[in-house]
Amino acid sequence: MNTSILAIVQRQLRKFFHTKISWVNLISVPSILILAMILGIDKIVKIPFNIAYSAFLVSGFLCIYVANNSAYVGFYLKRDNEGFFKLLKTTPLSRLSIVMGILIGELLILLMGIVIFLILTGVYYKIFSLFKLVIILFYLILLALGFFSFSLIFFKFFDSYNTFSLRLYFFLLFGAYATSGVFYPLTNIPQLLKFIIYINPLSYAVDAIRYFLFGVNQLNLVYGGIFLVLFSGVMIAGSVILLDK
Amino acid sequence: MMQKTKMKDKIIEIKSLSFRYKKKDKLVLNNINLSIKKGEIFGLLGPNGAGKTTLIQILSTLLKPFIGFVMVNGVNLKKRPAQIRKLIGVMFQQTILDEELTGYQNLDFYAKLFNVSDIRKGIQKTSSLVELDKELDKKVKIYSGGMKRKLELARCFLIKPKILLLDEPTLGLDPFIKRKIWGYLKELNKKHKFTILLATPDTQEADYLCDRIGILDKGKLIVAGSPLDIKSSFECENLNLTDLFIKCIEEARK
Repeated sequence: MNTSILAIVQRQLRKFFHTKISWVNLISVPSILILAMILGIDKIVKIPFNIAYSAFLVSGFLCIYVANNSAYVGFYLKRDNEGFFKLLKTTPLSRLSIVMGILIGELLILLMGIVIFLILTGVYYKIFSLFKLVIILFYLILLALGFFSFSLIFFKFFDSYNTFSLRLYFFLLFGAYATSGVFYPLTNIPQLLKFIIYINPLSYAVDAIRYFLFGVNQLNLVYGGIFLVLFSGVMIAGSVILLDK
Repeated sequence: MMQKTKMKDKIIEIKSLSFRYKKKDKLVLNNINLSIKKGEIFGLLGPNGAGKTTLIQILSTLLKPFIGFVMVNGVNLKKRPAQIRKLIGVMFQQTILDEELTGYQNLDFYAKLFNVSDIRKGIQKTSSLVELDKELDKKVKIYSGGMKRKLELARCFLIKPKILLLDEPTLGLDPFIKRKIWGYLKELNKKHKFTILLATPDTQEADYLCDRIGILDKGKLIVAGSPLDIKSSFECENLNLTDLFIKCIEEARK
């Protein structure tokens, strides 16, 4: 890897390890999400699958955790346009190298969160499979790359970092979360909104991870896998093209 | 022959440069023509909103010229911005540092981006130049405003740029620290022949540091030359730079 990209990755990691709140967030977010579910939700909600409701939710929360953190990177770069990112743009690095460095650094940090999430899930639900772990990581990285590139494209089109663009951004993100079958089976989504399931990359990721963790799925896994690869590929290509000097 | 030597001496050449942020906006820079010689300290003086920061941002390749052309060390800025980035060190109006990292880590990161050969030695040398060598292990968030500015200067020197672009480098600092920073700049300019373009509203700063100055108002370059030449062209040899600056602006606005 290019030494300059490596320097940016190192900077992202150093910043993360030097900031206590980042550590606390990394450990507490997955723990609280899982603990909160385990502590009470299974006793009051029953679902038409052969798994507990907390298990049903875990895969969805894992995907939202990844999508949300990845979508934040583009937003962070935009916000940082007058700060660190501005300084980097005056160095000999290409825009692509800068973004690559930041992306790899953020992905490594995210990966730590994912591992904590998966360890807690594996221990509680007694799932111990390296094969499953690799497949799940593949899906999550694909999802992370797709949402990261999407955020870059989105903020490229919004010149100013204003209330309207932020509201639209969060509306799109929360819309994707709400219609991805995280909270209830996809069959329960109102007929009028069903088409969103099929164009929402998050639905396929949630469905596949739920399958690999607990053996429950509602969508076609092959079609879902192809859709996710295409979504991430198009988003990455789009963001690379837009990252002009 | 004389003309050729002069051309060779120029490190920055700006011709008919105009800039606006959006198509329908007013021009922020209006037909600027300016040459800066190798090794000189050139002060860009102007009131707030005159266009100084915009010009620095164009020269640091953050903004593309709208009309006109800019050559930096013989390289066309519009066509080869990447090449120009290898030659410049930039210090912006606002401090840009990683507060959670130490001074050393901030310098180390920047040095790696520029492939500085002996990073440890370079950091040691530049940090002692700005008298920060004993503070490098501390996190930047506990640095004072003056120390942060010194660290930014060390960061610029570390990459040994041909041109230093400084946008109000002593903004908000006390006179004591200001003098220190001016001293470092003078010393380095003398030793290493860096060309320095300094944007400042502070006439005292320009008077102390600059070989030549340019006065910018409402996007137009009113006058450029050595303070002495400008004074004699306005037939007011007895004025200090502050009075001269105000006189120039008032004349231009008439």
